[in-house]
Amino acid sequence: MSGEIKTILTISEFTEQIRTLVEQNFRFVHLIGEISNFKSHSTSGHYYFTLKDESSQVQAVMWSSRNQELLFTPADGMKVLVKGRITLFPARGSYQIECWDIMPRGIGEMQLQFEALKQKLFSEGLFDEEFKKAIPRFPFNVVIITSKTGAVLQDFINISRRRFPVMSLFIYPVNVQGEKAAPTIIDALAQIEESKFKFDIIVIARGGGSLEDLFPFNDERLARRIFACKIPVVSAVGHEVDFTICDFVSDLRAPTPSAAAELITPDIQDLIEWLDKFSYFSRTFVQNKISFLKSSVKEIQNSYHFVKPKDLIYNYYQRLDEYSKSISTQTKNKVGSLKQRIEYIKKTLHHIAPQNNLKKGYAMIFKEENSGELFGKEKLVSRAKELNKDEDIRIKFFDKTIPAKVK
Amino acid sequence: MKPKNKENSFEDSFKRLETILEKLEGEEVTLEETLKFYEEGLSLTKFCYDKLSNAELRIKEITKASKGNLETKEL
Repeated sequence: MSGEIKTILTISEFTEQIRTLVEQNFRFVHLIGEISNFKSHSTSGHYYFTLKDESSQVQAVMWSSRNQELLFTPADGMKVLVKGRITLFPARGSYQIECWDIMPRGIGEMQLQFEALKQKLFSEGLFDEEFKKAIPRFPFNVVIITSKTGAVLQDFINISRRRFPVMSLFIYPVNVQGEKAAPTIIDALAQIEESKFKFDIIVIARGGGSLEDLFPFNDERLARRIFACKIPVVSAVGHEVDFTICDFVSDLRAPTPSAAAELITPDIQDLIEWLDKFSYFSRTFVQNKISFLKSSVKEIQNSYHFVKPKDLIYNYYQRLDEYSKSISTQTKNKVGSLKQRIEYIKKTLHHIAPQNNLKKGYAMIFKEENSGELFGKEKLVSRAKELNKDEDIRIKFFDKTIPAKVK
Repeated sequence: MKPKNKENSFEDSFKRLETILEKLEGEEVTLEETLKFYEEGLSLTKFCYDKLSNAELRIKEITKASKGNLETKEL
């Protein structure tokens, strides 16, 4: 090794290497110790103090930007849990913890335990949305695991009665505080789940309290039992601001027990109103549908193609009427003109009738026709040459026919 | 205490009513279907109304529980 010049370092180089080593390895630490030598810088407001236990100590700093968020002022002798990172101060060659948070011990440890469990269960997937069971819309059978005494139960009952009074509410009384709380709740969950009766929802409820009061709900076994439960679990522990492991692992987290009652129950008035609306709507819908179809049928009936045959028939009717009218007129005319003609012919005939001429004084001459028959026929003599001497003739006058002889 | 299915059928009925409403509102339905839906809706709404009437919250306290046997008393 001797002679390797590169192992020789300046103080600054060496310090830099140590700094890198320390700062990279202790970027996030939790330390428990007692505060001593506490100073708050009068102008900058930064805190400087020493953290120590029986045998060791470490310098600590908390910048004013951070320490303003503290809810208490640290003091010498206070046992605390601090969260921060290790930094090296080259000018003095010393290291220190740069604090981000200081918590009084007890609370601090609980908080840490809570964070650690939360992180653990989270990475195991116990809080995953995909494992959350759906909360039934209409919970007719609800069991609430809570303390029999106190306002929580009464509020829950009142709200349930107002919103969804058709529900059966089962109360599973348990201790919600102290060491026995978590095991009894675990047992309650098992009993409920194994029961033959079918519950729709389990509500685990507790009123507000201190971090210690709510600590049973940060129990790992309880968390795993809730996760394994086949019935949907609603967690309603503490106030809005309180979060427990129970809240994270449940299928639904309600900010308060009263809110849980509101969240899981439908409002019966809304349901009845909805049913009323449905009834009205469906009735109206059917009526409208029928009247719509009726008018559609009428429309089709009145449409061109349906009306056309009727029109055709009416057309024929009209034409028939016209024909029959013209036939009767023409017939009348024809008959009239024939009548006139007959009258005319009658008149003409009248003029030329022989009788009339005889009346006027004309006479007609007939002679016997030589036919050799026994009763010869008479023949009208229209020319003189038809007559012979001494021939017997008959002269027909209007009034009488007389025999005569040609000379 | 016996497990009941009535409560489940309330949810089913309600869901069915919502489906019917959706179908009537959204799709082209024939008169025959409409009448069928109407009739079905009528009996389902009657069922739901019945279920919601005579509302009186029943409260029971579980007094003893062992091996899944729950003993209760009215509160």
